[in-house]
Amino acid sequence: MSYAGGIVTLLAASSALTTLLTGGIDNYSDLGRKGLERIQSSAAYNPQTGLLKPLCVVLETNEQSDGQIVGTYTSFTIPVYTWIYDHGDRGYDTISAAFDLMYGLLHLAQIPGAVQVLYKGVKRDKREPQLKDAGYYLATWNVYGYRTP
Amino acid sequence: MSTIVREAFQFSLQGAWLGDANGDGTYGTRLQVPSAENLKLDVQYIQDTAKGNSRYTALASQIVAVDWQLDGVNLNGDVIQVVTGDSVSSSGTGSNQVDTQSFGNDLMPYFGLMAQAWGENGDDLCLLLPYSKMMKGWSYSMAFGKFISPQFKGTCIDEPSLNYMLNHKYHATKLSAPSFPPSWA
Repeated sequence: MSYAGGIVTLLAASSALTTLLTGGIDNYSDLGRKGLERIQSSAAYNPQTGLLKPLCVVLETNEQSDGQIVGTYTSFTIPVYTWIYDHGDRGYDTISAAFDLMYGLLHLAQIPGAVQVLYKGVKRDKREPQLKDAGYYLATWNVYGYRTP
Repeated sequence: MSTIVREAFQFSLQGAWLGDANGDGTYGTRLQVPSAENLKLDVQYIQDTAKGNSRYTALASQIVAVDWQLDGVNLNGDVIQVVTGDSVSSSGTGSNQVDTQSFGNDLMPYFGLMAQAWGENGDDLCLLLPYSKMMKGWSYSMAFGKFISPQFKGTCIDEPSLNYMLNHKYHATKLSAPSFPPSWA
């Protein structure tokens, strides 16, 4: 079960967010081995200027049993990372507005297969050298759920 | 899925609500606690053991009260008014508004307390402490770099007309917010 997929579906259902993130909202596991690049993820780039569009990448990381429910049922926590990118010369206004919308959509949300998503934090005003110094925010979330037999 | 799955676990304190208890199964205006972090319940018993013949021959145990503790509510005048009975008085408007709340040698009032947790299947658990009073006090501190996060401790007993001191309601479809009796459903 992919919790990142559930988060991508939830975010993509917001027209306000997709209006801002014209480059799309992607599940990291759906990107190719080189991540965002012009051939595999052409929708992320402006075809005329070649510049990166505002977009979001969602990565689900390790599912960890957290010891709250132990036994036949096992509770877990899964950290999920969301990178919100924009071209490096456009500043962070669009990224910031997108993050504020995402917080409203994701914090306290229920997604299929899990009980709740809770906001953990955000790193602001970062640059990604491997995307030609694109600006980004990195927001982190915890997905809480439990496994049944 | 809309059927209550009783083995589904409930998660987190999703919200807490207070209201003045009138003592007749009705309540004042429902007020949501701005930022409820923890609600701890401790059901209190009286018990006795009969002994004889070198063994315990009978056990008796009866629920008499529910002790509770509510944390993380913010120093909100409306919440404090419900739990202490000490009103907030306002003067001035806009940027000149001043709200004043004073605490004297007062008796504490009865109030109702509700809380909600969510299940995995779009269901919820709501609980009601219908006739509570702050018995063990409230405390808060102002600390460097910290929000003020008071703690309230009290006890709940049988409400005179509802005749229970703790009620759980499991809803197959979670409520946006529970309501006090007589709308408690």
